Amino acid sequence: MDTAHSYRRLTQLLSRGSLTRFVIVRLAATGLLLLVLSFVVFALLHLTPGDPARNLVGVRNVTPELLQSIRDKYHLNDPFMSQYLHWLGNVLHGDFGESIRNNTTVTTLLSDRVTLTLQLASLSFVLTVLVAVPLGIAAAWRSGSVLDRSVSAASIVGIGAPTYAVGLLLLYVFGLWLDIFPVYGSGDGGLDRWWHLVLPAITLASGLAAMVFKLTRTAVIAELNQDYVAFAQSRGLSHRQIRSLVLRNAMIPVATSLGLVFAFLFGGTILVEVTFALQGIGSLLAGSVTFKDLPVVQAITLLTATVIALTALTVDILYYLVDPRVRKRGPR
Amino acid sequence: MSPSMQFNRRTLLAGTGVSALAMLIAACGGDDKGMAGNGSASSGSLKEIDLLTVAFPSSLSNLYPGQEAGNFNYYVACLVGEGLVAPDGTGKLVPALASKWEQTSPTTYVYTLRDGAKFSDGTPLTPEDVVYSVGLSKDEEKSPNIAYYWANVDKAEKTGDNEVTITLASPDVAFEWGPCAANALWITSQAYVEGNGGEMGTPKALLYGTGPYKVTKFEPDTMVELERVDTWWGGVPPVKTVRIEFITEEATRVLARKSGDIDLAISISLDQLSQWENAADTSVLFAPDRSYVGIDFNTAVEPFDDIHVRRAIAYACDRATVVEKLLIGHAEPATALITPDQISSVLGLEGARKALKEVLDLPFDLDKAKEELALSKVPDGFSTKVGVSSSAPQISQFFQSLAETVKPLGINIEVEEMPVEQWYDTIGSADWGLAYMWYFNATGDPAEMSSWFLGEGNPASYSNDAVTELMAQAKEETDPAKRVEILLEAQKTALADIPYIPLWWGEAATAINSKYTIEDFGSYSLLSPWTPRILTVD
Repeated sequence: MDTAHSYRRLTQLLSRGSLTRFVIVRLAATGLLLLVLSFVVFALLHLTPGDPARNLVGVRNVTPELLQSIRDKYHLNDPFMSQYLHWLGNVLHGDFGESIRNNTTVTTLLSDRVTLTLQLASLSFVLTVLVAVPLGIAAAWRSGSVLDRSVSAASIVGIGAPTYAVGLLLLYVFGLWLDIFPVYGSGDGGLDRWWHLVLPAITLASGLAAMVFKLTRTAVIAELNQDYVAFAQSRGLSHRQIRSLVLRNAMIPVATSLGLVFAFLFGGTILVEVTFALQGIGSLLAGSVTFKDLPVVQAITLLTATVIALTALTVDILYYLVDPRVRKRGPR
Repeated sequence: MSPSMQFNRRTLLAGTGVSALAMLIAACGGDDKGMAGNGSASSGSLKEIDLLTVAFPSSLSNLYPGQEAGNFNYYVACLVGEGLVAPDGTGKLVPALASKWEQTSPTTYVYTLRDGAKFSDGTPLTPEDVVYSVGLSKDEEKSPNIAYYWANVDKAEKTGDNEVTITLASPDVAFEWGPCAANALWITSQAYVEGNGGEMGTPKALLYGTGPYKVTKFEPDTMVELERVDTWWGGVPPVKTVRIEFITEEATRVLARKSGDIDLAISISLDQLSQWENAADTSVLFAPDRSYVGIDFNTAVEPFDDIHVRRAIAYACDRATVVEKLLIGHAEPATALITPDQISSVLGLEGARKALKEVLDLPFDLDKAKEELALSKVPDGFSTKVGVSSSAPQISQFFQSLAETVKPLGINIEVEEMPVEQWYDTIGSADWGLAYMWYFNATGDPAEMSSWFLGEGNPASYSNDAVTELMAQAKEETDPAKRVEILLEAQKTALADIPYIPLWWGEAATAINSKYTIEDFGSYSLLSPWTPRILTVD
C-alpha cells in the first residue's frame, strides 16, 4: 500500500510539466555540464605551456631531482587521463586537492575568498537593482523627458568606461580628495568590510547598472505599447492599476537578465579586486591560471559554473511562479 | 616607555649587522652611490614608532620562505625568525643566533649558540632546535624552495651544550650563507611545528622564531601584522607594530601613500616613478638590489653556436643608453655575472666596480658588430625570437631597441611577451637560442649565480675545462680575497667566449613617508631585522 502510494506520489512529482521534475532534470543537466566543463578546463590547462614544478621554485638553480620530487608529489608526471581521473575521484569524495602554489588545501584557500567575492557581488547587485530598475521605469514612463535623455546619456558612458579607469577615478575622488572611503583592502570584518566594499561595488555596478537601466527601459516601453494597455485605459482602469499590470509583465525579462547579471558579477570581479587590493576568487583565478595551479583553477571554474547554473535555475523557477502562462503550460 | 622597552642603540645596531664602519661613514656624511638615497639623507634619530604600515607590490600566501621564497617573504621572515648568521650592511656575515662559528675542516662548521637566546614566547633556544630546523630546511617536501641549499649537507648534530656542528658531504665555501635568515634557515622549534601538524607559515601555524617580532595576524594574500617582543637578544626594536599590506596594483599603492595610509612602499615601479616622486610627504630611496639582467645564448643552438654571432650581438648592446633612458639612470651597466655588492665586503664598493669592469669590456660598436657578423656562418643575418616576461617591461623595451639596432645588419629579432611562468621555460631551452636572465641574488656570496651559470647544467650549455677547474677551486678556497680573485678569473675566461652578455645590475626603489628614513639604505638593508634602521627625521 505504502509502496504503491510512494510510487504514485513519485510519478506525480515527475509527471510532465511538474516543477519537481523540471528541477531534477535541470540539476542532472547541471551535473553533466560541470563534468564536461571540468574535463575541458583540465585539458586546456594541460595543453598550455609551463611547468608547475618550475613555477614553484622560480628562477633558481635547482637539481632535476628536486623538480622531479615536486612533480611526483602532485602527480604531474602521470598520463593525462590518469591525472584527471585521480582529480575527479578525489572531488567526488569531497576533496578538491591541494594548491601547488600555496601548499594548502583548495577548500581552505577558497573559503575566505568566496565570502569576499560573494559580498562584493551581492552589494554590487543590490546597488545595480536599486539604481537601475527604478530609473529605467521612470525613464520609460516619461520617455523623451530630460530625465530619460540624461540618464540614457549617462548609461552610455557607464557601459563604455573601463572598470579599471572607473575604479581609479572613484579612488581619487572618494578615497583621496574627499577622504570618505578607504583606498585599498577588505577591512577588519563586520561593518568595516562592507565599508571597504562600497567603492569596489560601485565600480562593478557602474557598467552593469547602465545595461540593466537600458533593459528595464526598453521592457517597460514595449509593454506600454501593448494593446492591453490602451484597452485598460479605455475601460477606465486607474493609473495605478495599469502601472501594476505593465510592471508585472515588464519585470519578466528584467528578472531574467538580473539573474545573469548576478552570475556575471560573481565571475567578473577580477579587475576590481586587483584595483582595490581585494583578495577574492577573481585575483586568485588569474594567478592560478598562469601558474598552472590545476586544483585551484578547477575548483574556481566549477564553483563559478555552479553559481551561474543555480542562478539560472532560480530565475526559471521565479519565472514559473511569476508568469501564469508558464505555470499553466509547465516549465520547459 | 617602560624600562623593559628601553633599547641600547649600540647593541641593536651590532645585532642587526650594521657595522661600526658603516655608522662612521654615515656620520661623516659619506655619500657612496647606492648607500644613501636621493630623497632625504640618512639624518634622523631612533625614536619609538607605534605603527609602521608597509605595502608590498606582491602578495604572500605563506610566510615560511621554505614554502614560498619571493624576495618579500624574506623581508618578513627575517623580522620573525633568525639563522645562525646574518649579513651586515656590506654583505659580510656576522653572528646572529650563533655568537661565533669556526670552520674546523673543509667540510666541518662548528657554531656556538648565543647565550640566553629565546623564542618569542620566552622558551629558551636549544641546540636541538637548531638541528631540527636544519632538518626542516633540508626536507624537499616541507621546504621545496630552500632544500637545494642543504643538498650538500651531510648532517647537523649537537656537539655540546651550546654547540651545533654541521658537516658537508664535500667542501663548499658558499655554504656559509646557508644558515642565514637572508637565505635558507629560520630557526624554529620542533614542539611548535609538530604541535601544528607540521605546518609552518600559514594563518593556523604562524611563523615562530627568535627574532624581534612575532606574527599576530596573517591573512594570506591580504596582510600580515607583526608585534615586537621583548625576548630578542638584540633588544627591543623601536617600531612597535609593523603592518604589511599587499597591494599589487601600483596606481592604488601610490594612492595609498598619497592618502597617508601607508608609510613605506617597497620595490616601487620605475614606470610610475614620477608619481611617487610627486606624492606629498614622500621620499624615494634607491639602492642596488644585487639583481642581474643579461642575455643568455644557448650555445648549442644555431646560429648561436657561432661565437661571431654572439659577439656581433654583444657589440650591438648599448648598455649605457639603456641604463640612462630605459631605467632612468636607476641601474648600473653590468660587465660581469657577479654584482658589485657581492664582493664589496672584500674589495670595497669602488674596488668591486673597478675589478668587475675588467671582466668584460665590449663597448657598443655597430661597425665591429658588422665585422663580426661578416665573419660568422650567417654573414647576411638571420631571424630569431626572444621570450620576455610581461612583468619585465624594461627588458622587453631593451630587446625591442636591440631588434631595431641589429635590423640593418640583417638580424631579425622577434620579441614575444609572455607570463613570467612561461618565461621560466625559455631558460636553457633548445627552443630559445636567444634568452635572458633576470636574477636576484639571495645571498651576498659572489659565487651564487656564477656557480649556476658557469657550472654543470648551465642555461647556455656552455662548457670550458679551465672555467670548471677555477669554479672547483673557488668552492674550496676559504680565503675570501683569494676566492674573489678566482671567481673573477673564471668569469673573465668564460665571458671571453660570450655565452652571456651582462646588461645591467638593478636597483630597487623604495618610497617612504618623509617623516622617516632608512639608515644606510643599501642592498642588504632588508635582509636582517630592519625596523631598527627606520629613523625618524628630526
